Amino acid sequence: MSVIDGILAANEDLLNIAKVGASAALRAPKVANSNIRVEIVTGEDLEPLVEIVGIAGETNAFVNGDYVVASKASKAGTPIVELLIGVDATVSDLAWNCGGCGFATCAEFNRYAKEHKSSGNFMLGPSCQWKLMDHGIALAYAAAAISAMGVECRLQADFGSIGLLLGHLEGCSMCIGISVGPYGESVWYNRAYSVDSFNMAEHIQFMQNTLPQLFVAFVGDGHPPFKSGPVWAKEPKYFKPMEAPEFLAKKQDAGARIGKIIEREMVKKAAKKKK
Amino acid sequence: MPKIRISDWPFYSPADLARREGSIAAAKLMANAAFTAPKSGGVPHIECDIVYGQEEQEEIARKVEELSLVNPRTKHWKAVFRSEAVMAREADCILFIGNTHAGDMLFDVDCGLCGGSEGCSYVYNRKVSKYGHIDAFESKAAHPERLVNGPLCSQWVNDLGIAVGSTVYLAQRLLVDARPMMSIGMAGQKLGYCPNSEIVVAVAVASLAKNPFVDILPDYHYLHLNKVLKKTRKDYSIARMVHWFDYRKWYPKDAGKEE
Repeated sequence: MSVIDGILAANEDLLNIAKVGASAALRAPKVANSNIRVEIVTGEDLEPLVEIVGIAGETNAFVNGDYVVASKASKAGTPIVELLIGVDATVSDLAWNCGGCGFATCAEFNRYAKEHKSSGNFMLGPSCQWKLMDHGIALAYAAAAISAMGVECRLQADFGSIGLLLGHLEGCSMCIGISVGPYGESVWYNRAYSVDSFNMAEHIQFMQNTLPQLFVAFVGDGHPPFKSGPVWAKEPKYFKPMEAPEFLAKKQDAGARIGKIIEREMVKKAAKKKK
Repeated sequence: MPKIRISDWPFYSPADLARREGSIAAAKLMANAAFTAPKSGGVPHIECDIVYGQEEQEEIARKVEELSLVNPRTKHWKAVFRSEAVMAREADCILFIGNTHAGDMLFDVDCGLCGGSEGCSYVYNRKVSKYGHIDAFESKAAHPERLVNGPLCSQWVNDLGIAVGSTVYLAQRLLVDARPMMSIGMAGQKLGYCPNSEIVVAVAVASLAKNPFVDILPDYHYLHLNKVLKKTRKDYSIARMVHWFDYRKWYPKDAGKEE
């Protein structure tokens, strides 16, 4: 009999757990008979995904949180397995003519989508809503099946959209990633891996950025001061929408670096195909 | 000793109603699963209605039948709606799940799902909007003929799918039969269920020996169990009548036997 380390054993079977998640996604009931597609990304193929999530996270707090967990788990020798679930929602074969996409008929939608299929911040559109409904059902089935086996997981749009950029699930317009593992309690929620990732001053700044209405004083005079601290009334400051060229430049720089990584990975992929 | 008699026959007998209570309890847990399902940003945007009872389900089924006529040139539409109207009647209860945000409170991440590179403006520009907010009432009034008043925030629609998936997954774990359906969802919405939602899906729930939502016959609206029973009752009445027989005075003889 051999002895197996508990932590390594817990992480060793993540791939099989992800495969069960894939089966659950494909087995999920559908409202619109959509073609749900699944891919599992592990090992060295996961590295560029995590790398890009890290760069995108430099200007996005939410994405950064995902990067911190994924990268620290890899460094700890217990990497996650990424289950990608996608669908092409830019074509409707339903002819239901429901109007949910904004067009009176599916034929009009298909005509428009053919000409205007394009990317927003991180997904392709326009979309048939019922294809996205089926995709959501598949996501729930996969996540619930993984969770039922006692394994930590989380649905993540960042891993999904970056997966699409890296050429996974070719032809899909929508993709969500399910990070399977790492071991541990609530790794994607209370996020023990995020210890000391911000200080109180950064937190207060974050709150002021995201929930400004909490910091507004009496609004009755039509020009409410900003409650920056206990003595806000002595040196009043005011909110004002402003341009943020530095932040935008940072975002553009991140975008350019992401573009280079994608190029690099596409060259690698093409070389692999040639072999 | 107190007891609860549970049976699936006759329909709507006290024993059958006791059985249905189990399905209703399951549907309540399934609604909870819709609320705890993963959501973009953890934002609450789900509402549910559970409907049961012969009259209530009959009203829903008739609405589904009415909607079966709206897409006359679409292959399968009528057949699907007519079959699912039967299922609305045969279900023990119907759980409606709607998304309260997809129509007028966008996720605002410019993701591109709804309209590509236009981002969220794809929806704002096609609805009546001001200050970055959508007027749901006027937007709906502009297209009263539409089954679903799109365009919608596709992020929330995908989330609604996740909520629906969670409910159906739980049903599977509870060993009750359930299936998500667009037809009954649309009919329920038109009848006023999930009144704050622009898009609604129905999950029909049942605990019967034979799952009423699968393995149906072609032209099911002609050949479902109630129709078969109705026909049998009719034929049986007629068959009883035509062999006139006074059971107090004589009994038919065995063939070939002399008195």
